[in-house]
Amino acid sequence: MSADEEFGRAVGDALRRETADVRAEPGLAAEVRARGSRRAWKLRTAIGAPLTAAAAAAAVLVATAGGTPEPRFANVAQVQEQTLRALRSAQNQIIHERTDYDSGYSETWTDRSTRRYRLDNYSTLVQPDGTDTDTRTPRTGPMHRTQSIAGVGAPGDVRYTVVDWELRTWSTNHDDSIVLEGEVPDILDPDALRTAIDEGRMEMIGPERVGDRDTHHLRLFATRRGYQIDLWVDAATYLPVRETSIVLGEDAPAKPVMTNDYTWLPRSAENLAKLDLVAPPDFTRR
Amino acid sequence: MFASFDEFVEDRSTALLRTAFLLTGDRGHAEDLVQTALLRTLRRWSRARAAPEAYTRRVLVNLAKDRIRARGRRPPETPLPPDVAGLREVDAGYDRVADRKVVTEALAELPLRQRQVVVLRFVEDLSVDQTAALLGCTSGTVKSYTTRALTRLRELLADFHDSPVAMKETTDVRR
Repeated sequence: MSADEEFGRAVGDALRRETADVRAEPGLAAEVRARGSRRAWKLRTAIGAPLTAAAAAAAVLVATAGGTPEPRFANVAQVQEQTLRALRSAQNQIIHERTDYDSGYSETWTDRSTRRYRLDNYSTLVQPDGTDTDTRTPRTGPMHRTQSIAGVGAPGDVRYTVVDWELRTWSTNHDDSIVLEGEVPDILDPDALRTAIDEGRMEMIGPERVGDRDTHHLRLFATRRGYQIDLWVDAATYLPVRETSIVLGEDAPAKPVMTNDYTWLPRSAENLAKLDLVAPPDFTRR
Repeated sequence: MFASFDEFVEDRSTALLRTAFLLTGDRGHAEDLVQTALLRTLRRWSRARAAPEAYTRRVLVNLAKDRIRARGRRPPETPLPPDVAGLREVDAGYDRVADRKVVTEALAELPLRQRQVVVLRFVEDLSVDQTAALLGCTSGTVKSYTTRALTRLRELLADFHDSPVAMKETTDVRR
């Protein structure tokens, strides 16, 4: 072993000793999940300024509100502006968001006007209950609800409740942290969307069907943030109905990191009730 | 393989936090970076679960780089001294001052790249090639940064030994 190598190892040992008192807080995973859910929430309170976009035109058919295609030209700047206008006008609606993962999915309901949200996670993965002998092998089962999070408050001052349906526990917390730059831009927020467009570029892919809807397919290259975001906006309402995010770079996965489907719901008592979260009385408070 | 994201966090978050702390030199920033790195890991769990720690560490290193650069706190690179062999050796004695975190403080004085290679090579025990892959540079670059970093650490720790105050404090701490 060289003198440098020996010295380096001694330095490493010393650094490990000196950081032995640095320990992560328990419940960090729940904190991270709660923070993840804030992505759906944190940016939806903003009111955006008009978009000043000047992009190359792409000829597409624009559907009218009545659903009958009208042969006129639209370009990406026009669709962008309509989308931002639609987002700003939909603040009183309840947004339902479904995000699919390999092992499950999550559902989020958001009410921007009262700054409330609720997130439910579902998974086929089963949390270890302490009786598993091999904790390195994922245990799977039927799709089940694993965790729910409900939050209220402005970014930097969010109070939330977490219910763990597997461990039958619940907890409350207050989050005053500021979300770091560099995360996936929230395409439901007009300001964030405009910023992401300004930082990168947006292209029109063309008209596509998503489920039973006619949509405009847009592609946002958020290059500074390292993401490519594909966005499908309803051809009639211009509200987003689907979003996929792909990581750019050498370690980019072959498929989207996230696929989010959005439904814009009326402000009814039934839909507002989706935001409520109360732990069952027999659950243990952490 | 970890059974779940939560289990991974429970098992490895302290190690990741220590790495982040050494990279940033600030506990609060370290906690913030670890949360952000774990959040990205959670979003990519389907892919990251095969090697979540490696993925999270990569994110962590990149985030620490971005954070330090954004704050303009990056110390300037120092040229490699012409006669490395002529520098004072403090290897045998520096461990006497370990309780005062002087090595951590000396590490924080290093330029970012040098700090990264020291943490990854000697705290995380990654090989030169693994470190190079994680940092996106060549093995030769890692070796060069390692040499510079250790040379600078020797200087910094030697300065500590040369300080009468420091030596007295060290003696007091060890008593």
